[in-house]
Amino acid sequence: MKDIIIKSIKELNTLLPKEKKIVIKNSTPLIDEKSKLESIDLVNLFVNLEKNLKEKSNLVLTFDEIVENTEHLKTIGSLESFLIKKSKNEKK
Amino acid sequence: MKKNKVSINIISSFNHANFSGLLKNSKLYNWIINEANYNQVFQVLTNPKEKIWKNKTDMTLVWTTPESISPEFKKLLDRKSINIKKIKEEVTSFCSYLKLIKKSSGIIIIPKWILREPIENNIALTYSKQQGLEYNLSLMNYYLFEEFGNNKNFHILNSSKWIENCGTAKAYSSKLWYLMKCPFSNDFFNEAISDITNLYASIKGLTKKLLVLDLDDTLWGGIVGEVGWKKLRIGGHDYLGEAFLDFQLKIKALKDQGIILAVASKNEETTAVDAINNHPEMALSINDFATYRINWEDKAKNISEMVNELNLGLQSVVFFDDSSFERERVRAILPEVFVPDLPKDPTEYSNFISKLHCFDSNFITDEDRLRSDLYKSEFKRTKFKNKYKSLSGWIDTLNLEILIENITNKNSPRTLQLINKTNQMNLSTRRLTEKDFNNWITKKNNYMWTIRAKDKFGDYGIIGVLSITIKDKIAYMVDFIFSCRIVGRFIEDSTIQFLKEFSNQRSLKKINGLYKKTKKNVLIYKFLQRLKIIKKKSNSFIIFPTKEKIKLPNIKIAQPKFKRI
Repeated sequence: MKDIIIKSIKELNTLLPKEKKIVIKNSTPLIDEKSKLESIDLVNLFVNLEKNLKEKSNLVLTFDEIVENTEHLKTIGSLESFLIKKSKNEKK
Repeated sequence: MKKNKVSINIISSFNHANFSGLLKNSKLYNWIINEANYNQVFQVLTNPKEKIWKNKTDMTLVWTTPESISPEFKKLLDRKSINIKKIKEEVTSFCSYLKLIKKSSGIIIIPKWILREPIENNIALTYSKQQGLEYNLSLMNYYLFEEFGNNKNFHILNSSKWIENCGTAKAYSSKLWYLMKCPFSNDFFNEAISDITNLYASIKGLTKKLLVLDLDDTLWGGIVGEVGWKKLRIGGHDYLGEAFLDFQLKIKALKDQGIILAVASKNEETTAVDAINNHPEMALSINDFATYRINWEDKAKNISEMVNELNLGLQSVVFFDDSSFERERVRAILPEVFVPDLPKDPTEYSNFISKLHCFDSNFITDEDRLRSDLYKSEFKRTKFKNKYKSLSGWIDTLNLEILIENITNKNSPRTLQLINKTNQMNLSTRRLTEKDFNNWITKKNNYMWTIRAKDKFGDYGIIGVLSITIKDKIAYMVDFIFSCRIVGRFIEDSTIQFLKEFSNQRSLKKINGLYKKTKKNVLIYKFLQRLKIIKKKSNSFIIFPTKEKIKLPNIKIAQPKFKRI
């Protein structure tokens, strides 16, 4: 799951100016007051994530799910936990 | 390496934020982007007070979807019948607005219209006049090409190619469209950026000049040292031989458009040259190469030597080699050299070279076509020079002739090229668009000449530009430009001499000049210092009248009769 997140963030970084590029660390804020990302950047990140999840692990993440779970997506670490949990639930 | 700044205005009918982000992060240039809010195309084009028109930019990109320009075309998307006359009116009206922005931007780029999503029409109606999407999209593009196809300020880009290169599924993003009104994927935008970057380089003459080629498994199939030239795979009834021949023909075509060819190959020189000279299917001959290094030395060292010999910069070099080891080595030692990865399969070489675009040129002059020969004769000249102790002694033996000509339709492309590309031996470093150039030379008090030279080793081509403007019997020097490869042969001195004679014949009172310092034109300052005419504080100088006589070696000067053309 980590690889998919890293790939999606790297794709987003190709669009961001130097000062906004995301450092890949568990504590890096995403949907949070401390986050440097604007709404358009978050849209791009989750579109990348949705595409890469579908390609690499056949997991479907909808934009509505993201909007409903923003409290679980505050940092890169919490995003990973959310996706692992979702993946396990879907396998059951 | 410091990147050149390029300013660009972006006007689009869709959200182009991702395109702008990718462009800013692209490698070759430092893009300064001025953006108009998306979907405000007509408002921005027709309002000269809009923020983005405040400063003149290098480029303006106007990127629209067909339905945003033609409401009539939009009806087709709703499967309604349309009036094709209206489509023409709407495209013509859009084109007239585009023409309004010509003054505010050097180059205007318009990607040709494509659908913003990969929808398909009713198959039977695809090419119907009243209902066919494809028919009417082609028609819109046809009107656009007719309007701007031959206009040098406007460039239409082939956006269909970007879809083909990405594949339709990867070119579009319906998710991004619905979330942020951006119809295209980042892969698609990267294709567009590659074309825009290459287009800019070709217009500004920043394209590559020298192609260095390996031989074995690059120009021909097989290793000549092992199989001998008779068994090399070039042409013939052999699929691989045909592929290598096609690749050679593409390279030969590059040479004919002014790209200098050279060889860097690890081989015995006699074996490799024998193969080039004797293989009946070789499209390239030894004379097509300006120079070569065929030995067992390091290729990076060989490339450096050849670049010095040809008096070029490493940034103008491209290196082709089938060996990834050699490519990596050259990349590591000479990072300025462009080293693309050749495809592993030689049947793809020919297609690969046609997609490179780093050699694209906006126009080709006679000097470009002869460039390889010019460099070869220059090499002979330099070798010959080493025999002489004094410079003037050497010049005396060259039988140098200088021809000073008025501007004509034939020499104006090269003149414009020299004005816009020369940095070092350039008095004012003024840059002109074709339109500005034509306006300037037709003004009554302006005079411009080209300087061509030849000697016993060959023709140098047009290597200089001189221009003055006259007011109240006083002339002001505007351009004094020379290709740096001829500097120091008294051609520049002879040109000053010509100007003095011209002033005498015209009974001019004075010729003034002003050196405009840039980071790169110290060479011309040194020349003016040598003539002892430049004033240190003001950087100004007077050419005529002066007491000093210019001492010239044995040079014949052919001058124009002082008539305007």
